[in-house]
Amino acid sequence: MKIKVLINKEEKEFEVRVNDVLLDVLRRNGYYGVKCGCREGECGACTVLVDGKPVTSCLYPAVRAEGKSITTIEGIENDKIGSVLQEVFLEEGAVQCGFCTPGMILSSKALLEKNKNPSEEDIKLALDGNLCRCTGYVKIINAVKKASKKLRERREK
Amino acid sequence: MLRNLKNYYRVKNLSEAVKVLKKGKGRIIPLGGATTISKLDSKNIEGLLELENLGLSYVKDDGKKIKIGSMTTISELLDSKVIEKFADGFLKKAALTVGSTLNRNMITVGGNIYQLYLWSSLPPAFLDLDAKIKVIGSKGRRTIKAEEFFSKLPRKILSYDEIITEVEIDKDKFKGVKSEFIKFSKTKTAYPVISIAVILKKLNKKIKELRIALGSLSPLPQRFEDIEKEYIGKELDERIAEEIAEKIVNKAKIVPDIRASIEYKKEVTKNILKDIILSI
Repeated sequence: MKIKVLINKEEKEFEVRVNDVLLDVLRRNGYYGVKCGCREGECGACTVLVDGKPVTSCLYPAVRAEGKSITTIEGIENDKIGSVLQEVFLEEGAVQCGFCTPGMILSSKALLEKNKNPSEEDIKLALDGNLCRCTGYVKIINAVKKASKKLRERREK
Repeated sequence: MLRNLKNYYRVKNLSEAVKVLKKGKGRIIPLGGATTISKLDSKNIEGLLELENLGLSYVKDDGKKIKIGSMTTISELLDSKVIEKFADGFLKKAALTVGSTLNRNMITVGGNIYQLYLWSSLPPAFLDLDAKIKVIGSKGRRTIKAEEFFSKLPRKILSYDEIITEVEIDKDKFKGVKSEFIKFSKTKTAYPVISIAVILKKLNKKIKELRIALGSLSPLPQRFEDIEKEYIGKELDERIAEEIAEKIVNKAKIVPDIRASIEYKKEVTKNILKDIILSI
């Protein structure tokens, strides 16, 4: 069957099977920024935003995505919050192997869309489903704090 | 994997949904949060029934009752001001222990109470709250008390053509209560080894209301009304708290698993429960 989605602000049609998960459909169609980690909903490497909310695409039934808006890491290059997040992740050294980074950035973007001035606890809660085995989280949390500060400063200018 | 899965049904309303399930005779299952669909292993399931967009995502407060739609996600519960204010934030505390943010954006209230997985924190909370589970099926609507709903696996309580539509809680009983929900696990987002749900109301140091439920220790959540009743009117001190905790763990059904022995679970449950009773 076919599903129509708005992916990274572009209308697309994907061929899906009923037991496909969104992760596989996205990767089959070239969205390689969506990483396949655990396939258990535990690691968050496959995070995408569905209608603005971060979910594990390894568990999300592809058929359910019909008519929805999906954002992958490929779609945030020109996004106001997403581009700041990319900058600060580099500045803060919050990226090492990079496998978790798309999920981290998308979960952080969803947080900053909802909460302009998150506390450290808010950041930890928002990222609690995104595992990183390299950085130990300190630099990632610092990066999100810095992004939030930068975005606030830009809004005030 | 659902090897024989062929069809996906979208319907316009609940009566159409029930018809699809009835026609499926157990081979079509409703789709809640869908976090476990890709992990199910069955040759029998041939279709998925979509429950999104049927008006089952809501949290309402009509003054006397709180009504939670079955397709409300755990994240939506956490965002609800009604839930935050109710019973000292009891349901919020429980909801925060379910999975991670990514999962909480998918897992639904209906799915959490139907599946009774290890990470199902809402069942012990709903037992404490005397919640009522509303369902619709081909024989009409019915309301099931939480006590009955969780007396065996819900899939044995509901017929294949029934859908959970709502959870309803009486507000009046819980005015002025204090509450706590503790998940004991190896890491913050790991599956719970033990879940403890306590609601307590004191008047002049005496126990006026006490509700204790445990989750994750056995396949079914457990409540201990007979022990709770014994202590109504008694003055709460360390000795009484210890006595209550001791009685509860001695009565609780506890099964061992790879993460912890029965003895360990008993000891930890007793200590956490005592601390909760004394601290809230």
